[in-house]
Amino acid sequence: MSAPEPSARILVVDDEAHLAAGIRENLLAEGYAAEMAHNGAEGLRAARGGSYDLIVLDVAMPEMDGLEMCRCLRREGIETPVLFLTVRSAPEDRIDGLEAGGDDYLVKPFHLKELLLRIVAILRRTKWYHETTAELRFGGNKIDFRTYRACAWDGSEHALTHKEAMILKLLAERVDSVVGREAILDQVWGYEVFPSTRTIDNFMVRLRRRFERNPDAPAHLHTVRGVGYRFTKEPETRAKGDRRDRVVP
Amino acid sequence: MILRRDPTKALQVGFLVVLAIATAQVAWWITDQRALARGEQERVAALYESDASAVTAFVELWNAAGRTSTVAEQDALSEVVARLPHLAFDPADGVASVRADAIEELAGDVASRLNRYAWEGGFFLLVLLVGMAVLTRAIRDDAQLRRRQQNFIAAVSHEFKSPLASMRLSGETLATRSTEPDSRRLGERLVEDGDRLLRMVDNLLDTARIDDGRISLNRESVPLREVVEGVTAGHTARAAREDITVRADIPAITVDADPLAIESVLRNLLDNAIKACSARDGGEISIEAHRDESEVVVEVIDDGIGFPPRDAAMIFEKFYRSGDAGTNPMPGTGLGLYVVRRLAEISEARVVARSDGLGKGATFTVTWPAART
Repeated sequence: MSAPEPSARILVVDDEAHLAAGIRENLLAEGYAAEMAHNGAEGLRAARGGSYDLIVLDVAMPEMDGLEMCRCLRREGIETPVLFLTVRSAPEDRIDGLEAGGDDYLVKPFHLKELLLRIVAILRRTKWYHETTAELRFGGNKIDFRTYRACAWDGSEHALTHKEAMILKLLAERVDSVVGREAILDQVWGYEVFPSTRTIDNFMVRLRRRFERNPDAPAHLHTVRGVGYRFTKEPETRAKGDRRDRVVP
Repeated sequence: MILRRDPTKALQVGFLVVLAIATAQVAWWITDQRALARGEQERVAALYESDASAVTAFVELWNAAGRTSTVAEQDALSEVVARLPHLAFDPADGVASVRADAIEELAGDVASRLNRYAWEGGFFLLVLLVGMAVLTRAIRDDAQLRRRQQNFIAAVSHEFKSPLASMRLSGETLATRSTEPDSRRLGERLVEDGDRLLRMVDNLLDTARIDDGRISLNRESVPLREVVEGVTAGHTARAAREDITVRADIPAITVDADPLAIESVLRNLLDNAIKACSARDGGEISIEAHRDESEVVVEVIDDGIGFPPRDAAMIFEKFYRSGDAGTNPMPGTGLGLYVVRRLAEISEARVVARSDGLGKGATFTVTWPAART
């Protein structure tokens, strides 16, 4: 198995020294540049200092756990993708991890092949994100995908999360086309890490509140009932639009 | 999400609420009785006064009418007054008054009753409050114990699985990256034994969670074929090495179940079938499924060592192992099938085991509610 981005730098943070070393050795063998940290505080320092393409992060660690470390990174505007490793497999644990700003979640003990595949998938998604459109303008809104900053039609400034930016970018890339919820999950989250596609609906509600003049009657971010979403650069009101585009509450 | 709670705790909390209501009622009863006794004292005292006024008024009216009293009439009046022992009557001036000792006696009676209410009621209140305190403490201690147990389970889970993950990764690294065939074989063995250990730890943790009464299930539409494929894939290497053929014929049907629970049930049934075949130095396992109206029936059929028909119900009991522990050719802790039964029960599924006897194979049938289409 070869890495799509041999130069990708990966930080492995795990208090289980042997496991961290094992992951690092495998990453090195795959052609990645890999470094290690053994607790959350050390990991946070390393993540702040180095420009990593991915952090493989254990959840339960001394000093600062992985969830807290990830929250700190996101608060500081560091959007490096995070793959959580944990012994806890309950759906609510997964949701905790993803709500803390994680990109994927793998339960220990894991299969080496699965870990490597997930890393490849995350790096591919990140690459797609960074290599495509850097800026989006619609309806008086301006979104800078590089800085995750947005200036809305009413002049308000917003800091986007990585996932929000990815959803916007995906919809903008397929402008005027319907993008299914499953396709959004696949492209933005990757594996079936979320228990329900309803999560995407919640993200869309947040995006509409920021970028639509009337979030209840969206002019750009349309719901296609039972399928997914459709983005239009030009405002499209419900009156002249397709009946299918009515907002599903 | 379905969260199974301990019925004992529900009973304790329910009883605590009943005690609290009883305490409030007793407190109200004491207050009410005391008010009633005080009211009664005032009412009786007023009646005494009324009697005295009536007698005095009668004598005044009698005199005002200018009637002279005969001795007999005066005796009759004295007789009437004598029947009112709480009154003092002076025939000379014709005035009746309430006797001071009658008022004291009345006050004494009421005070004694109030005293009794205070002591008896106080005693009942004390008993109820002590009962509530004891029960509250028991519930709190129980909650603390549960928290400690959960922390323990979480700690065990972490302490077991983290090194196991490390061990497994080392094994897998050897098995996939080593250029030496012997090292690769060693790595495969490490992975396999690690997985066996992991299954045991999972069953121990599942058992602890089930027994603790706290297992959360998220029921959803689960595609059965994918779950079975995932479960069989994890056992392929072991089955092949032990000369066991595993066949799975699963149509595209969905089950209304918790994905982790259904995976655990099928994994344990397949694990059990492999052990049963392994004890006979090989064999065949077949996993079949079909939809039967609103249910999905899954059968795990093996031609392994089987079990005596009389053990059909017992084999799902915790720690139960068919036959004599010393001679039982099937390794295991006796937890796998217990976990299967309990998870099935919680998932509103049913599980049944059948065998025609030792050496004649076995069939385990699980029936789940089908997902609504």
